[in-house]
Amino acid sequence: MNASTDRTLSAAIDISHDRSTPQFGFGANRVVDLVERKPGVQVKSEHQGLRPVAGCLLALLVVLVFAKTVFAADAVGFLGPRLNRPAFVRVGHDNIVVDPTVRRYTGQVVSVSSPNTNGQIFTFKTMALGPRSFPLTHDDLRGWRLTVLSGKRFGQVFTVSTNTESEITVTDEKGPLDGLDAPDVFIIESIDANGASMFAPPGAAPPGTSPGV
Amino acid sequence: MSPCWSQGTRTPVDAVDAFHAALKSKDTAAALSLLDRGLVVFEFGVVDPTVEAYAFQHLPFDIDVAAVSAWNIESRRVGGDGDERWVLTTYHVTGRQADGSPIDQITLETMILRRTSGLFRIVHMHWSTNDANFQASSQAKAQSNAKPAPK
Repeated sequence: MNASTDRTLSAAIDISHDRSTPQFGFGANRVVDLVERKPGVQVKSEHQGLRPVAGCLLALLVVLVFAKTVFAADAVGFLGPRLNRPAFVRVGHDNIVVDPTVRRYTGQVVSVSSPNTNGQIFTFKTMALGPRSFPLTHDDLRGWRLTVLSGKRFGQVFTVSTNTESEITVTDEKGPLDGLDAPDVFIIESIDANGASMFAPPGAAPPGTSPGV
Repeated sequence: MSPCWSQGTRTPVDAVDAFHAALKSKDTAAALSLLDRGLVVFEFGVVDPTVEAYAFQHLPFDIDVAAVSAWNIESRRVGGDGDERWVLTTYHVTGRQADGSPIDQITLETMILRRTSGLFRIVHMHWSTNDANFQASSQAKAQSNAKPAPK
């Protein structure tokens, strides 16, 4: 097993292996069967055979208890819905190296602004997060698509209306940001409200001439 | 609740194919709408332990790969019953990488789907490839790339 794999996962897999080791099922019976097949020395052999069996069972029990303890300690991290866990392992189709097809800004909500006179929130403070992010300048995300990646608004899509170095405001076309909160994470992609890319890699056709890329 | 999140699909195979279609069309929200909130992703020996982790740092890359490659189904088996189903698919993946070299590999995909509110969504994905050298190199790369979680 890969050493880089989440320790929690390792614990889970270790447990799986432990449980696959027969203790009271076919494997255990097979040991007894082997003992009983020896004619004439059945009692002695059974006596000698059961000691190793008991030892194995004890060892397995110790391993199982240890594994369960490790798993229980990490279970929240493995199953929990939040990002802020200690082990955060990158995966991907890493054999395939491709250029980004859109520009992306990924970030984390630091705080949301006060509601407007209608009690709705359209602005929040952001902190760049992740390798795709870049320092923001005024309005460089204008018109881009924002998708919330965690929290109550998971999967919700908005369009950026304007941004500063530290704040992002969305349009009202898809409703307010109500429910968004720190430390939700999000991605903003250079894709407009119609799904067309606003990004052209070097040497490519100007954006807009090839919808979808 | 997001409109996309509530769309869902009727059959497990529909959900799997719709997920790939969403990647191809760079529709992040549509892809997320097909994922169960309990999603765990295994890929080439490493893991995305939550749907948020996958969405944050893996989904964008899958979108980029889908954009420049064709995933043609070579075989598919479905199974399970009730609210838990599985879809096993092999794809012939072709295309070109950033350096112009060809992409030509078989990718194996296990999808486990769970039905909630009448709609199947993906609760587990597992990808691997027939390229043993890649399998080894990607795991070494993943090991070197493993970083602490963002706080």
